[in-house]
Amino acid sequence: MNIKRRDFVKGCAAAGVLLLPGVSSAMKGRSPNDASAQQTGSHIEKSIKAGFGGGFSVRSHTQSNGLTYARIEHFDTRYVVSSADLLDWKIVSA
Amino acid sequence: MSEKIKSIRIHPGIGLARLGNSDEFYIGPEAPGIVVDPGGSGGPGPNGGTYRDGSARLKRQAQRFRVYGYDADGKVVAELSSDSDLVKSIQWRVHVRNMKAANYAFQGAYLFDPDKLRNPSIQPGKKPSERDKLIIDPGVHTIASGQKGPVVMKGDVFTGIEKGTLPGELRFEGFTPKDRSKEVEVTYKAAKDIELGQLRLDDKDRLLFIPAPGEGECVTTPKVELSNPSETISPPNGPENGTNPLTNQFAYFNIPGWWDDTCGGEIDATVMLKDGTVLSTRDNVKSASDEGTRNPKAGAWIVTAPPKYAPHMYHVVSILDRVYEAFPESYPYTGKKTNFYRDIYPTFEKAVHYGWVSAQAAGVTPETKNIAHGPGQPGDLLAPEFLKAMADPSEQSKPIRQMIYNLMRHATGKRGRLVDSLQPPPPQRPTSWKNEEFKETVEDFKMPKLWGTAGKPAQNKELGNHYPNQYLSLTDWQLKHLKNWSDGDFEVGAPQQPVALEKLPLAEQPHALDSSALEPTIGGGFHPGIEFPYLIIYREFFAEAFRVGKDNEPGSIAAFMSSPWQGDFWSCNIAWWPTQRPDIVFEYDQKNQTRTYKEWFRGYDSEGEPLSSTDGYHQMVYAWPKLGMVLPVKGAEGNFLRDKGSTVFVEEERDPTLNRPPAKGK
Repeated sequence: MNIKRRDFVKGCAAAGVLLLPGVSSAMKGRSPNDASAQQTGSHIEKSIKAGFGGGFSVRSHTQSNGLTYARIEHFDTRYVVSSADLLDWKIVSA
Repeated sequence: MSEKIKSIRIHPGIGLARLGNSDEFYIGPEAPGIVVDPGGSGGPGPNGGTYRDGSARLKRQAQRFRVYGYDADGKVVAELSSDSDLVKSIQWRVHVRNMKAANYAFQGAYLFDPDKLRNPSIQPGKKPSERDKLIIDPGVHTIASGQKGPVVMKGDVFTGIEKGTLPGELRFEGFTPKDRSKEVEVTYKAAKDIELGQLRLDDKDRLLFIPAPGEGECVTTPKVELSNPSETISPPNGPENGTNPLTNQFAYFNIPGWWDDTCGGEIDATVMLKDGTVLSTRDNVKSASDEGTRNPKAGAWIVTAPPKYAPHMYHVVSILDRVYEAFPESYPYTGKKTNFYRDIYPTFEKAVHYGWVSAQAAGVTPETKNIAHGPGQPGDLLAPEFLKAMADPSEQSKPIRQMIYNLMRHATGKRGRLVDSLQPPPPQRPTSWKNEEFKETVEDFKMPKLWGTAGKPAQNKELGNHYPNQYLSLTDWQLKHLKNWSDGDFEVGAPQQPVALEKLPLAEQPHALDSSALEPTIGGGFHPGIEFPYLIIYREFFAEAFRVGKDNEPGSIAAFMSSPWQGDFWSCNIAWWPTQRPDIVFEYDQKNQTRTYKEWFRGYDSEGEPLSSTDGYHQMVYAWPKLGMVLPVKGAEGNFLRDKGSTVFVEEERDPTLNRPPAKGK
């Protein structure tokens, strides 16, 4: 990974981390009928499990600049990961 | 020379071939410590080979068998191949079978019950060997010098069965019984022409045993899916108070209506010398056309098994170690002073390597964080400061040696041998484990911290079972070396360098073949095992070291393995055999020397659902040939990259189709 790419990824990770709590709060107060949000969450959860394994869980997720960011967890390990297509994920912060 | 040859023997005595869904194959290891290249180019193999073919299918690992001539004193005289001036022709004779569907149900070694059969409603009351409708038996096949094409061995199973009933608690494809406590009527359709393997000759007329493509299927309508009903119905041990092996905690080892294409059986050879002499591994053979009778000390045995996904890593106890435990006289260094680099260092290297395939060893689980023995962890025995102290026989380093030795677990019982707690051997019920000698308190802080032959300790606790050997232990002779080392009674020696078979002296080649076939295997915990079941620990099943005894019919030993193998292979996803079936895999950042991990079993199944970490029994049938290999990272100069004393291992050659849900309608 070249340095420019790494800086970009770090920047995205930072943005993702900053955005995540806000999104998480917003998710808590959402309407139970918000089917679209639920569907997105379910889709992301499914994609994370396929991409990292069934033992990984999604703590929160958000979107920024066309990318989906998710904070995921497995045992005590936490990663911030990003994806442009909800199929291929990259770990942007460990 | 020919007059000197009084007998012949095949080596390896017990061979091992591994399934793959490709038509291509490579030949497995033929000298200790050698990791073979899978052939091809541009890949991560030792010589740049690839474990997958051009269509991303997993290559099969074949076993090569060779004939050696011995003199009257049992000394090796020559390898007998078409390359030899002595040999006119060689004829190989092979009989393999799959007896899994006909065998006893697997319910853990300590609970073996000869009255509980798999597929119990079919040919009930008969011994496994008499349940011919449930045995895949291609019959005897031969291949001889001059025969160019492969000989494919095929057989049928579930023949002549029309209807039956199965427990409603099972999981059926596309069908859920209204009342799951009632039996479900199913119909059977025989499975025909199941390939158990192929025979070929190499360019010197040695035998190549190529295993099957790894297929498996349920023959009933509705089909039974691989599952463990006891997890959801009357947990923790299923209905009927856990007495039915089709629905209790062991159900996934005994799925009714299923076959797989693994096999086991005998290999023989008859060699015609140019002077007219006929030599055979079978008794009473005077000419090439004589059938003769099996001589287990001269003939060989083959077993086929799932792939080994981390070919450079070895389990801390292998079947080879078990052979040496059962036959101490066969260990080539018996009676010799303990040598650190030969007898001790390999155990530690194996332990550290687990840190690339096991979450516990890697220290990423809460209970092992900062106390694990993977690379960079406090218990990393390959760390330079550790290594220096461990290779030092002086009194100064004795405390650290003793601390390590005292952390090692011994098998329960006075002699410290697993086999003692499992007497008498199958097909009798084991009872010895009930003796006072085998009552123990589980010491979960000791090493190896991998599950044992009695199964997972947490599961046993939940079920109120008190078995010995719930964790894996090193063998008695491994521990004896460690004790000598701990006491300072050892020589340091030098790091061992693997030597290719063709560079070994002739006299050493037979043992190199025997041991290298069994070195990359799993010698415990046997629940029931991954290549060989726990029967391999009994001396009674051998004719001698590395030779399966005469009373074992083809397929009878392998029959004790899971039926089919995929459910068990999925289930063993934590702390069983991560060198064959990784629990987790890593990506490695060379610049920062950091690593991140994922679960090895991940991706999408055939229905587009994520592969599960809690109920993936059936998904393994689809996923196994697509999962990734765990391989060492090559540095710029072709050497293996190292970090903190350990080789760096990452996941490679994963079939990318596993990363995408299958297209709809396909």
